[in-house]
Amino acid sequence: MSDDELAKDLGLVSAMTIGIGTMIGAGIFVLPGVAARAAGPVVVASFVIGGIIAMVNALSVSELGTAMPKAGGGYYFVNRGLGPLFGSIAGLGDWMGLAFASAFYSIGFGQYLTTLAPMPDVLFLTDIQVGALIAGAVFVAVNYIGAKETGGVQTVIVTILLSILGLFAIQGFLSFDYGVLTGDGGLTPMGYGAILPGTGLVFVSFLGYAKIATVAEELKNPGRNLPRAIIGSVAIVTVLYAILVSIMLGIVPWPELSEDAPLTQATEVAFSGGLATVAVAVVTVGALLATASSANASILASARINFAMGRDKLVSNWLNEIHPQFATPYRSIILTGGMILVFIALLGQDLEILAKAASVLHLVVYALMNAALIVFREADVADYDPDFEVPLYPFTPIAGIVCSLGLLPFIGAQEVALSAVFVVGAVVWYFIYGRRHTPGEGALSRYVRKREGAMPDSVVGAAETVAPNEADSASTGPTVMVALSNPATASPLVTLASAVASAKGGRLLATHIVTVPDQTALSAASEQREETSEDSRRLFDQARTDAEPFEIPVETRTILSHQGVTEVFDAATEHDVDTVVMGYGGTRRLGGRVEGAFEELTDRVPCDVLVLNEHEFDPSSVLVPTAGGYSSDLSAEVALALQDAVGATISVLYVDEDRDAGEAFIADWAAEHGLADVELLVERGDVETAIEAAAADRGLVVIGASEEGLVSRVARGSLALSVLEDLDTSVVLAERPHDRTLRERLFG
Amino acid sequence: MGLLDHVVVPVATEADSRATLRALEPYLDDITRITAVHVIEKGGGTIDKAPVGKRQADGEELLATFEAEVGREMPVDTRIDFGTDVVDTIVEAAIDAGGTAIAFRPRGESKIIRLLSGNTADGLVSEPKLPVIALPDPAQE
Repeated sequence: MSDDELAKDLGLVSAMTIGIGTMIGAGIFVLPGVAARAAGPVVVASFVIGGIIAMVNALSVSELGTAMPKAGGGYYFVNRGLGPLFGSIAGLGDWMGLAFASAFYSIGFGQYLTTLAPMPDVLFLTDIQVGALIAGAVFVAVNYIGAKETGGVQTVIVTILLSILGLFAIQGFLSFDYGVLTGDGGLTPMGYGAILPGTGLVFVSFLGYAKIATVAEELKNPGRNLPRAIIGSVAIVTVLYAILVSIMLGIVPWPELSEDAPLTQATEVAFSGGLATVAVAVVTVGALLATASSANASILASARINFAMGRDKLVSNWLNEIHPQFATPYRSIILTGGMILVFIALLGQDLEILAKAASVLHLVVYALMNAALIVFREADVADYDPDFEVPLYPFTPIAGIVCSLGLLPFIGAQEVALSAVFVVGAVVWYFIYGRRHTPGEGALSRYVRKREGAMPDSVVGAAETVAPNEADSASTGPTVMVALSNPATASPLVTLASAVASAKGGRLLATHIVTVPDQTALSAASEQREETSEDSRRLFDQARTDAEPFEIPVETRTILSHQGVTEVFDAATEHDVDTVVMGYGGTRRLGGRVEGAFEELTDRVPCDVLVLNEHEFDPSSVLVPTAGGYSSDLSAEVALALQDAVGATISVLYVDEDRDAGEAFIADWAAEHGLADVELLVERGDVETAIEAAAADRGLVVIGASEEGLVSRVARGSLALSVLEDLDTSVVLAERPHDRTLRERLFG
Repeated sequence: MGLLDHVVVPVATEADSRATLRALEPYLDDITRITAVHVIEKGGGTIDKAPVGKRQADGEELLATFEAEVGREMPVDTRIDFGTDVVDTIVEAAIDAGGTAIAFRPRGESKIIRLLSGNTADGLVSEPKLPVIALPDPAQE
């Protein structure tokens, strides 16, 4: 098995227990009493409608999750689909939604805890809040330390819960009295109008399934297991809710059902005599387990959202550092945990606010997710290839948006306003922090910008206004990236890159590639890091000076690299670079490190790559040896760029035994590539000797890679090119990728 | 075959890696080959305590610095292994890599930390399947 497969250890049952375990904590143990008082017996319909809304969204989550089984779930989908502005809203919304939900679960835990052990009131806190704060603190501590919990525990807990509920259902069914269910006012004492507000209240009972998508990265065979687990767990809990809530309301009249510990009360009535005490104790333990596992899963899920946002640089990666001893994302957990405790203390007197705020934020994320799904489908993103597709597209995602947003008015103005504060906060955060840091643009804005002509100006303008700063400059022309590591050899690289950028009317992205130096003791490596920024600054100053004559925009970036040339290529893709210029010596030094076990270096280059052998060079006379074919288009372009930018004279060399045929070929080739005013040379004999002779009195040789993967192999050290090493003249090796796929252009 | 022919070294954190390297230094001449192992603890069916993508990225970085440091002296293999039990996984990785011994630097955790996070050192030496070498801290002589 590969490393990747071993990293995935959640099977179908595990994934379903995560979903079910998270959901039933709320729906069965906490909410029935509150919800029944709000809607009467028809609250069962509220649960069913909540289940249907959840199911519509579950279908969309399944499609997105199988297309992108990554940590972060809803946030990740929205960020990829709608871009980082909506990504920030979804990320913060999901995160805060989970914090509210965890606070709600903790209150639920506190409610049952106080039936076991009386808690004191402290200051403005009720006994339940005190219990919830203790519970919340324990959940956070457990996750900070990273208690040893294995899959068995999770499965056992859910199995116990389902058994307890099964026993309750059987005994409850025997005590069930339809007369109690209908009571005095019939099934709809508050009218049918109470059904949807009831759904708004209980929707928090359905939030668990999205957690499965949040940990999709850890799922075995996500294409098959993710949709089954998500759809399956929603279906199962919806049926469970409908049956168990009906039974509860057939045992205890709805106006009397406890708001704090409804299942305990129903159990007390259903079981008679001495058995009742035992049954109540069992149910209470079940309630504690259920609410604890819900809170736990939510805290773990929120760390995934932080991680995914950190990966996209929408929050600082500082937040995601792993504790050296406990191997947990402790800062993320402390921050989330702190918010949970604040929510419990400030809002915990009213269970409903926490439940509803969690629902509102999740519903907003669901609506965005459905919109992202539509964008992925419509923008025809090439690598969007979900194993599971929603039925009845586009009806299903549109229904998801309508249902999710449509439920908001029934939830309550107070909670919607509270959530709006977080949405606005996310937008502000994006504009003051995220926009300066995040590199990624969504499929939506790429789609809009690519069709600039066909779209109304206001739409294109809006897409550009909210796009990350990084992407802004993409509209000003192609980007040429130069990878620098050694200040001594930086100048020729910058000159070459600037010339190409200036000829194309593009900009220069100067990058400082910092590796952990081989010659430095590890203990010194961390101190070295602090000097790095100083090094970078000096290198960039030099690069700006070298680039100055070309009058092109220059941007700079430091890239910390431990893996070598792959990270240079990754950076090139990330910044949507058209041409990378790097040095031969530096490339090979980087490359020496690449053979690590985890490296999966493909031979393909992500964009045009120029490798220069780092001699000082005189670009005023350029030799282009050609045999036509692969990458020779690029060498011609580079020569033209130098002609354009520094007035270089170009000589084209072709080696052929037949002089006439050679002259015919070379004249054609030069004309085809727009090379006018060039000297055409045809030589006989050995190719390398001919190049060497012709190069002797010229400043620079530009060679197109003769086959795909040449640059990568040079970088990996598996190929040494004598022409790059032996010639006294400077040499540029140019390689162009065969065809850039749409995927690369969209996602980079 | 000598005991130090192919030494398997578990590496947990940056600090651990530095301490291990310091402790290994006096013996480098006797060692022919090193395999550095970074183990990522898995839930085995429950949500992991940390995002696995983060753990992998950190592990790769850690092993790259380790390799850069020792790679000049001798051949170094690096590997990331996943398992629900850190000790078992280290041992399995060592056997799989064909190591002759496992060498590690005890991290000197306090009792309370051992209790909370489990102690790898105890586990490694209590039921060895390969020779296990606990490296002394050269600074403490």
